[in-house]
Amino acid sequence: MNDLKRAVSSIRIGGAVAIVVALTLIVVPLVVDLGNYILTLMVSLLIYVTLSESWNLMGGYAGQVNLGLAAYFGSGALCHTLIYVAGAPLPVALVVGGLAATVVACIIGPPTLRLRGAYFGIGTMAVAEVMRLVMTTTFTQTIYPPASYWATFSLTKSYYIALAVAIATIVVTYVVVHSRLGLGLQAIRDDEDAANASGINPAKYKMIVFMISSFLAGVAGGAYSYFRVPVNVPQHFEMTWTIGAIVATTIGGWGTLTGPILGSIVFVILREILGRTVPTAYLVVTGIVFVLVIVFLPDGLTSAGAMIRSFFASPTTKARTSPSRETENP
Amino acid sequence: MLEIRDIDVYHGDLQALHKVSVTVEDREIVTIVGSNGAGKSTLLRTICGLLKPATGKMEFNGSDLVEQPVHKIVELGICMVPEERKVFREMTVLENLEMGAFTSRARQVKDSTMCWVCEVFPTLETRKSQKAGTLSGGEQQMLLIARALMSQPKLLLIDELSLGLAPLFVQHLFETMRQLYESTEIAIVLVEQNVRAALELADRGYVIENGRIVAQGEAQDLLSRKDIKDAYFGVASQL
Amino acid sequence: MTQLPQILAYGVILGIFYGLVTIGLALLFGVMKYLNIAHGSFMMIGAYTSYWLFTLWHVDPVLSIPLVMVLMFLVGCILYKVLFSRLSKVSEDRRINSSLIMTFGLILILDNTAIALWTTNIKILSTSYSGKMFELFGVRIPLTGLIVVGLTSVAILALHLFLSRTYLGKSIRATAQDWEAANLLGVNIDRTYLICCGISLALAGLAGTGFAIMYPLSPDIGLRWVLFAMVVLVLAGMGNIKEVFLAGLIMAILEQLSAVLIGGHYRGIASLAVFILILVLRPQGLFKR
Repeated sequence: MNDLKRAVSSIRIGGAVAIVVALTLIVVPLVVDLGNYILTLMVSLLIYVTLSESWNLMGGYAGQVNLGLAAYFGSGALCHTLIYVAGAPLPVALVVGGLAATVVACIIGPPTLRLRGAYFGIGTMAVAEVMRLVMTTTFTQTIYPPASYWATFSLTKSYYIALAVAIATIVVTYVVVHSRLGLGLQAIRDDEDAANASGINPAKYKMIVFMISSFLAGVAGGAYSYFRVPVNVPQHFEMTWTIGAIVATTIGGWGTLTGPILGSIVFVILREILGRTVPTAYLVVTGIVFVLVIVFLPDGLTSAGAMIRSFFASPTTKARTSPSRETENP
Repeated sequence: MLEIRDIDVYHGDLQALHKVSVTVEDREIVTIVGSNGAGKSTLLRTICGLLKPATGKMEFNGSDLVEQPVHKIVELGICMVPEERKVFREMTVLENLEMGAFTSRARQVKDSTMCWVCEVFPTLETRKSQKAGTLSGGEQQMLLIARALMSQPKLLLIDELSLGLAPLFVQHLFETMRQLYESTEIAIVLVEQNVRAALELADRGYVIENGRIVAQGEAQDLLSRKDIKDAYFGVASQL
Repeated sequence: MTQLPQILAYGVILGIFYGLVTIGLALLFGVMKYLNIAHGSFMMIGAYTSYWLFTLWHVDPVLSIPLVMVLMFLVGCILYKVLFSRLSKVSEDRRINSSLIMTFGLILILDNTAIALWTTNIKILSTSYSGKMFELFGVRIPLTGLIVVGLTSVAILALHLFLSRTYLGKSIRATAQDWEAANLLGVNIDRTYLICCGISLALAGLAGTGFAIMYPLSPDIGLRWVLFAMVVLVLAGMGNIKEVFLAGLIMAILEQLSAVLIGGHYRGIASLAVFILILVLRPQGLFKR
């Protein structure tokens, strides 16, 4: 009974915090002039949050490590830009970008997701790298936005687009995780054989969430290319985007909603503080933090709270020694 | 030789063995019988170190076993033949046997052990260059025992000797066990579902149910006990 | 059509090199089921080590091999102790994902440290034999390619002898097939994994030296080449070790042929196409496990 009360109250607290944070993010820029630097930073952060959450859907909840997230980000950016330049309204262009990313997912998804093991990781990585190579040779010039863009663009507008996309992504993730799809995915992640035996079709579930995940990443790509003009297409396909999403999610804590957010904040802060001095130094430090987190805090920063609590827990639960030293341990 | 006193063993949160005590003397065959899931395999896995007891003592010729890792326990002279047919499938019969003599103690006398093992199991001699995965079930079981013997064990633990094998073959294996018993100084602990055959072979026996020892004593005595006959030799007696 | 022997010659050299790059990765995966995508980055470190040994102290790359391999072996042992040993309690499925992510972080560290130290400018290791070609039956073969083929052949032989004739090598094979059974025969699994990790990285180092002899160096070669290695691994069948050379040959020859047809820029597409084809037709790879 206590557990139930605690769960309900934690949802209430979590939901209340989320609403307060969302309202703050929405209202503050309307009232206060935050300046270009902070707004740019926030857009960057929100894009990373979106990317990380979308990666987390596959990686954290479904247990499928997508090493080529940049392919979907880039495809979204590319198609969004092409459609937008051709005259389509912004929301349409964003959605089309997302769909384009989903199309790419449908190429590599079916052959890799029905298999176990590393095939998905290798396949997504290969797709991303190939697309990057193709884009590098195809798009040697940057793409300029139409005249109407300059009339309507403002950093604040960019910010709200990124915010809307981020909030939408978080909401979608929340809905998916708590739906039957989400429960099935977590079952697959924990034990694919058992899930299969209880009637869940792993390939189908994985494919569905892959399409959702890639769509979200594509929309993020579109939002970013709206913000960063002129559009350098090949840059959107670079591994750095995938790295950012994976690092942010892992440091923050995968398989949770708040993990990617926390991790993105850490990632962006590191970049801002260290990136000014030697540009690649921040990546090295990030890598070190990343490895440290994996070794000492495998479930990310969001689990830090739980770990600290268990550290001070009563010794009674530690009485039964070593049954954990079971067959899995070489 | 082997002394186990009051051990409790857990699988996660589930207690698999409750205050189990077993002793094995030099040169004897002890059998552990009981129905499926009673805890027989768990006991063997604990002795060889794959599982660790939460409480209790385990000693082998004066050395404590509880704190030792598996490979050190093997060096002490305990070797287990596990339930699943775990031959090294991609390696030849010869290579499997060579792996049996991995410990430095066994490696020194590898060649003479190999000769002896081939006498006990002539079929293996003829299949020396074959890949172990291509052998029949019974031959693989022979290979497993032979491989274990290559490690020069003082105590041999066998988990389910007869499982899944043809009855005639099982008889042959039990004969081989008797041969080993008579011609060597190896002590054998045999876990078996075929209760009657096991008790006929062994010197002493333990009966486990639900993780507890419910009966123990001389094998002959256990054989003639009515409650044991009813429980294990009835219609459900696996032969 | 007269180009065919030339294409095949380049294909063979490239294929054998693909095998060399992949063999360390295959060993680690085959024995421990860890997928180390930082393998390419370690190769890059080996390459740069040979480069600097040559540039600063005039050590011929071929002579630098023992030093590079010993160094990388030690790095591999440290890597195991600090990082990989944490994964030993994880189940096989999870282990692949977890090792992917773990080693991903290593890529960040290694690649960017290399950029910071040595810049992205391309470096070329020019020895007395770089760029020399010689003719065999009308086919032009680069001398550097031949040297690398020679080195690889020695490495293959050494590895084969090690795995089949020594007890340590046999215990590694046994552990790969059934670690519990090996453990029950007295094999110290932790120590076996440690040594395996060291050998894997030593092989990466050797591949790095070979790379430095044949190709220009830059810090980003790691990611690009580990992708090739992973496709070769899938082609050979995940878990197989010796078959990677044959798989590398096949892939290289396919690539060379398609480069003639489509154009060199799109070489990456050939590997991707091969990969997807294999997954659809025969995911367990060309060679049975």
